Amino acid sequence: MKRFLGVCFAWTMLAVRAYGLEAGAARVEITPPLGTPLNGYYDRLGRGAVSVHDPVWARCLYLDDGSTRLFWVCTDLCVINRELRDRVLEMAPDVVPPEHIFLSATHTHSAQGAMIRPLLFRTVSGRFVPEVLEATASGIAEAMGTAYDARKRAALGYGTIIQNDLSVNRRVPNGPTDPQIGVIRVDDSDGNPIAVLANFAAHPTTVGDDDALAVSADYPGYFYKEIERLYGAGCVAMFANGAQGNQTCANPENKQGWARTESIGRLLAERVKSAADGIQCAEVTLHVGYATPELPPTLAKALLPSSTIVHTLEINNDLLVTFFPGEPCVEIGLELRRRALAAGYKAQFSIGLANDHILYLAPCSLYGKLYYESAMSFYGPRIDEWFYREFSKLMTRGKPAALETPTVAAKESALASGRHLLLTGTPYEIGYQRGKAFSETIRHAYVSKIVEACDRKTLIPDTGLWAWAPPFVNQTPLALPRLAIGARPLIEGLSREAHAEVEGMADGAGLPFDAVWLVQCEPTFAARGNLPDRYRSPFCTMVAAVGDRAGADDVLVGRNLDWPDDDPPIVTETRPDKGRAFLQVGFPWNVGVFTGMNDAGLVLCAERVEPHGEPSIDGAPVELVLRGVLQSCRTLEDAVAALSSLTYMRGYHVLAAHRSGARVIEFGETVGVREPAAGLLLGVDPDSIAADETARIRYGRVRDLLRDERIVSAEEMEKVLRDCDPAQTGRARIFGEHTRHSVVFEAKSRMFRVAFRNEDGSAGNFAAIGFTESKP
Amino acid sequence: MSEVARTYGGAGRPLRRRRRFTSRRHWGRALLAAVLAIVLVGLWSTRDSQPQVRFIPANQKYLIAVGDVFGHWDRIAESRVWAAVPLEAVLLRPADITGRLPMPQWVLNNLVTRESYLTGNDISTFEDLVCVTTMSRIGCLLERLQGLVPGIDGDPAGGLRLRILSKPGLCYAVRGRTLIVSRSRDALIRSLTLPKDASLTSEELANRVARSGLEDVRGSVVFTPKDASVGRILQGLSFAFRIEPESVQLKWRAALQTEWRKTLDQLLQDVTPQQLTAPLPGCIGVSVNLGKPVRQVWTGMGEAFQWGLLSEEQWRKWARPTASETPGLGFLLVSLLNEAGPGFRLSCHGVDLNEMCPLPEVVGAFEVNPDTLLAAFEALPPPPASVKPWDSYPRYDREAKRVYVPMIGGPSLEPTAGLRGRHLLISTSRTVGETLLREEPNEQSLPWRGNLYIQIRPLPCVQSMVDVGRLLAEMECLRGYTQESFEPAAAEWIKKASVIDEIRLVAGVAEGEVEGELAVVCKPVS
Repeated sequence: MKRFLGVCFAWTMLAVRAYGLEAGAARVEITPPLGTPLNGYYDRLGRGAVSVHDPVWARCLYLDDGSTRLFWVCTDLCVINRELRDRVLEMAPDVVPPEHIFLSATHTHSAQGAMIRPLLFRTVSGRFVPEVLEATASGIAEAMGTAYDARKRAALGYGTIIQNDLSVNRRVPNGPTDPQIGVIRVDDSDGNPIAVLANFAAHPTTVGDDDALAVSADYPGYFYKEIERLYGAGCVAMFANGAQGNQTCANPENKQGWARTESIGRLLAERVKSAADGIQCAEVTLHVGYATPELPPTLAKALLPSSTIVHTLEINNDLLVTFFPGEPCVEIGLELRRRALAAGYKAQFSIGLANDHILYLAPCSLYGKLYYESAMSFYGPRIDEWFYREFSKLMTRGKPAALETPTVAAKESALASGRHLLLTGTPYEIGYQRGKAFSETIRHAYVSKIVEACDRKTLIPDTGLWAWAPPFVNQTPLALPRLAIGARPLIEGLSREAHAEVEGMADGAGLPFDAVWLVQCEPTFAARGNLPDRYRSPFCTMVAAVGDRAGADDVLVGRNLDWPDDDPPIVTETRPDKGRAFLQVGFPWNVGVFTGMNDAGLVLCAERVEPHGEPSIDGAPVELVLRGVLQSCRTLEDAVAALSSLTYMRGYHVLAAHRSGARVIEFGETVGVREPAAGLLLGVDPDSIAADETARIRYGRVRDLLRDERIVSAEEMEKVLRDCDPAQTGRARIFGEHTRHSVVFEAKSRMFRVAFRNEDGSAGNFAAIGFTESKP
Repeated sequence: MSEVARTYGGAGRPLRRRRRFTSRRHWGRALLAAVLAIVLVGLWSTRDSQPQVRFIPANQKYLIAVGDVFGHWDRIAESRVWAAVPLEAVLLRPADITGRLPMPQWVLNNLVTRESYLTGNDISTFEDLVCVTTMSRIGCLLERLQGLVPGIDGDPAGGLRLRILSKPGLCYAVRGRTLIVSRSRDALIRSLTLPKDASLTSEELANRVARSGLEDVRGSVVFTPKDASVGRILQGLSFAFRIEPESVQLKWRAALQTEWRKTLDQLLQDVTPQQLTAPLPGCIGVSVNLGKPVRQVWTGMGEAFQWGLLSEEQWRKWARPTASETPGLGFLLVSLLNEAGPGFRLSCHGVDLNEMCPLPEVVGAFEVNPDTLLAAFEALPPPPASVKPWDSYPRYDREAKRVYVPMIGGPSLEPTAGLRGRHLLISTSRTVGETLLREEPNEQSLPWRGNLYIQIRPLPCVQSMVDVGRLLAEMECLRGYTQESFEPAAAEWIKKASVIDEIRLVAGVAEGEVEGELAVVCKPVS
């Protein structure tokens, strides 16, 4: 019996093996009629094509290894949008399951638009013309049908070749590029090439302005022509773009106009031929991975989908082809390849612009740069990790990467009229704990400070197209992504720890990264421009007593924080796995530090000083800078050096104190450092003509109150901070109507006393909190 | 025994009968007298002794005469127009009003018989509105039974004998058969205590609410510049409207405030009613004829409303672009419209939803001298060699005698101009423009004289708005609606709009005042 079963099994296996590979390829022209708007450039203003330079194509490869059938259609289109994919799937021959249909766009910027219905995208793709959508989908489906009908016994091989002169990084001179050209060759049983597919990462944007309204496949068109000249018309040349987000064509032959387009296409074809000639084709097995996972949350949810298509194709379990539903930057493609090779694959091709279009995909390292690619990336800085994880789930080699959700919860305890939160772990975990603990508060902060401010139009410009929108148009869904783009440069200069903490906080609160980042940036935005008064309250008051005035060998710092909103107060103790532990007095939604001390006794607090100019948005907000300084600096000198180097900062004074002394770093037109005078250092010099009048009155009162104190005690400092001079109102008072917390730091003992405002508006009682040095 | 012949034989019975008869007659008479007395008292007490005008203060800001609406209740309540009333105003529907009143219809019919008058001074909250109406005798007697009705309290008010309906918050008083009702006790007392010379006379009443036809409601409102926005524009407004089963007609006449007369002086000076031409086809059509050239109307509008885009200065600037300026749409417009007029028409054909930006497709037709227009076409400068075919520059197709200006997007945003009969036709959409230019012009005069005629077909208008709204809702960009909440709201709008066939307004300037007629016509029931 066993022998019989064994024979049956062997016979079955032989039968499977004997089936062999079938393949067919076809090309169908999908050139649109003149007058059709072209996709890719906003500045065409949706105008229609006026000429055809060269035709555009749908080029299809059909593969069947006996158990897996698939169509891979490479189209000379800018993107594969959902309307097109859906219609193609409706029209596709019923011989392949829909999830085995790969649609990729070469990303030529000179082929038909007119197929995208959502209004906002029509600015780039032009008016929606259902007839063009129908004709294009029909051409793609026809290419599938023709390829299927042309199927024959075939063999397949793949290879790669390195180039260093055909593509460049379009953002960073000498920046990263993908040197690999991937090649797939399919021969019939006589060894004649049926199809040659090239995978190369570079934007097909070589067509010049004079031909902006000419239809063209761009350099892939010349590539097809050259390959088919070299291999004969029986071979269908195919082109699939790679991780091309920030890649464009070089100009190795220094040609101009169409000659440059021809040059790239021809050179690419020559390289591909040299690789293809060396490929040994054989029987292969195919494996298709397909998933439609939920994407990370995005601020642009009204414009972008919440889920997408992630596709993989494995050939012989050796070649991994990953299909990105958008435009990945090259860094993502290179990292994915590194991981694939580490998992045991012999080669990996990244195909961009496949099956869907969720815009650009920028890696974490580029998310804070104001490059076009990162500005058009709306799924957060961890979208690269998201793709690595989703692809790993579909890969047959390696271990699927799982989402690591921190399990440690924040430890919370009550303070007099406030709360104390202990956060531990990696920066991401710390952020996650905060996000989880205060998800409601953070969501509320996002809605009230950002979304509702957009609804009220206080965060929407009253110029340009914004001003033209009729009143029934709700601009908030459009303004939110625009604000997110505007806040990206503020990530620049942010410490990696703070960045990771914001990421964790967003995940913990279940919000998009951009939403939480906008909340962090709101104080900076609010302090800029002609916004209502509620945004313009200063951060006050700061005073340090040093040397003899603070008792021997100590520094005493008093600080009131004024804040326009009635946000709940909290003391956060952060003990990260790396870097210094620190305490901050602030708000649940705020990662940055307005008032804080680290475990080395370094105290930092900030005050907005309006005459010194609007806060800059060319780098991280002041509170996030202070956070990084607290986490990394041990001494006053380190802190002063770190802060003094921030030449972009404007409109703030920062008081830095340590038991060795205190300094005020003034960020105005230039960065200045002020030292104590007669043992006292005030946040603003009351005699300075640069300060506004209310600040001079306020600080004059501080100076008067402390003038007769030879040694300033903590109790005396508390009394100063609670001072409500009845002769003054508003910002001229030390304890004003917007004062949210008062803190007295004792640097030497690393103790501080904190008091929060009572509900009736009076100053609360001070509670002492000790803080021990956790690490050297 | 007496010798006196006595006659017996039942004489007593008649006597008894007579006695009985006398008694009955007595009671009968008494009853009759009582009934007569009651009737007389009833008639006396319900006599129409107090004219309505006695309770209407003179010089009130508004005075509205409401005809015998309850007498024509069926006609008014059954009008199909009510089906198109916006949801917010649903309480105004007659059927709803009667359903909500705490009395049967026949009582109401007796409480409000003839014409009623609504008057007051507060035109923002109408807090001091006083209604003066006349009851029937039955209504009057029913009112006397108010003591039996719970919820009506007496208010002596220093002998004025007011009645207070606490639940709807109304006060009323009866004088003769005149019923005076108000939400404001003060306003009611003021009406009841008017000195004779402070109340309206019958002649004044007739003047203020002059009859102009078989109207259901007519009235007049006097504004001061301090009153809300309307008061800044209008000095007074008189109106009359009638509700028919298939239509509503409103006639009105308005006097402008002095300031506004000055503002519109350039535009309306010497304007008299003119012959108007029927609008071009479209969901909204406007026909204008002020008897003066289009350029004067254009710059007059700019002057009146301080619109820089329509100013004389802008006109001149467009007409003569500097060497560095590209002659664009403005240049084309002023070149072609310089000699146009006096009549012109504008219409909206709808919205091309597939265009880059869905904007209304607007067409204008302006009376011109064809020869002058063709000469203006010929005079358009050809695009310089540096201009690309898709650049925004007026291009004259000499063969077709049409001018095109490529703008952005596709044909629906490509202004097109051509000669259509004796009219210059300018369309924001090439598709619509070419369609109309191909058609044979059919310029019919309207049966009314005036200066402005507006025709709106609500269903295609609402359908276009819904289509655009849906596009915006898909992107969450429609204020106040989500994609889910929009659909039922849109269905309701379409349902209401489909009741109305068209809304027509004709207006003209006469004797320094603006008068007009508005008609809302329902679709016939199929």
